[in-house]
Amino acid sequence: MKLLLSAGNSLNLVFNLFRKMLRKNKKEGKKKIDKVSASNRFELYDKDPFFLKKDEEAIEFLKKVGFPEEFYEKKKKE
Amino acid sequence: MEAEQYEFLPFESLFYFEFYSDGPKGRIKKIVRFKLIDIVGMDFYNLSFGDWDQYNQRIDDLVVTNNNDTEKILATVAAAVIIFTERFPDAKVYAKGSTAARTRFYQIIIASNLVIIDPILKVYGVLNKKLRCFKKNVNYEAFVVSRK
Repeated sequence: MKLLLSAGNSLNLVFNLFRKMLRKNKKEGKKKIDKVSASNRFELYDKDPFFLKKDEEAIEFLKKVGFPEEFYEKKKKE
Repeated sequence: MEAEQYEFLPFESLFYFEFYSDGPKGRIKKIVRFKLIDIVGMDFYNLSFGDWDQYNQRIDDLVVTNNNDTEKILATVAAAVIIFTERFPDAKVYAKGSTAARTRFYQIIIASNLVIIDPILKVYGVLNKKLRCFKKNVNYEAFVVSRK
């Protein structure tokens, strides 16, 4: 009987610890998502080496393309 | 744009837009960015868009979401381009898919919506290092859009 009670207590302890861990993860996860605003995401986008490389590739690609004269004209502001 | 589109929010003086894709895979945050790139004498903007990966805290433009709403997403991106070029009429927006298949898909979407786009925007395709007026059934390497 004592053995069963002890096993039950241990299981309860493990279960509680697991629940605590899940709660903590959930809390931290939510915090992490909420912390990033649209402005932060814009900055991340702007500094991401992957996208910076893509911008460079776009420049290299466009430098080789011939453009019509109208592309150099500025539109009159209404 | 008359095609169905998502509501979107502009940020950072219209250089950045966000909207949500809703479908069988859930609610996914989509991001559209216009980045000024250095081409002498012209206001060229590189258009890029992707999903916000909240777990890795980064933007992913290679992910295949399969949310059954690709046309609606592209119509939303096109609406963002219209608003952006309205604010910046000298802007030339450059767009190239993250893969050849995506570039081809953009082409199909542009072609099928040309009647709607044409009164507002000039659409060019880049082929063999030359900018040409967009025509249906031509496979372009990239696209450039400007305000009429």
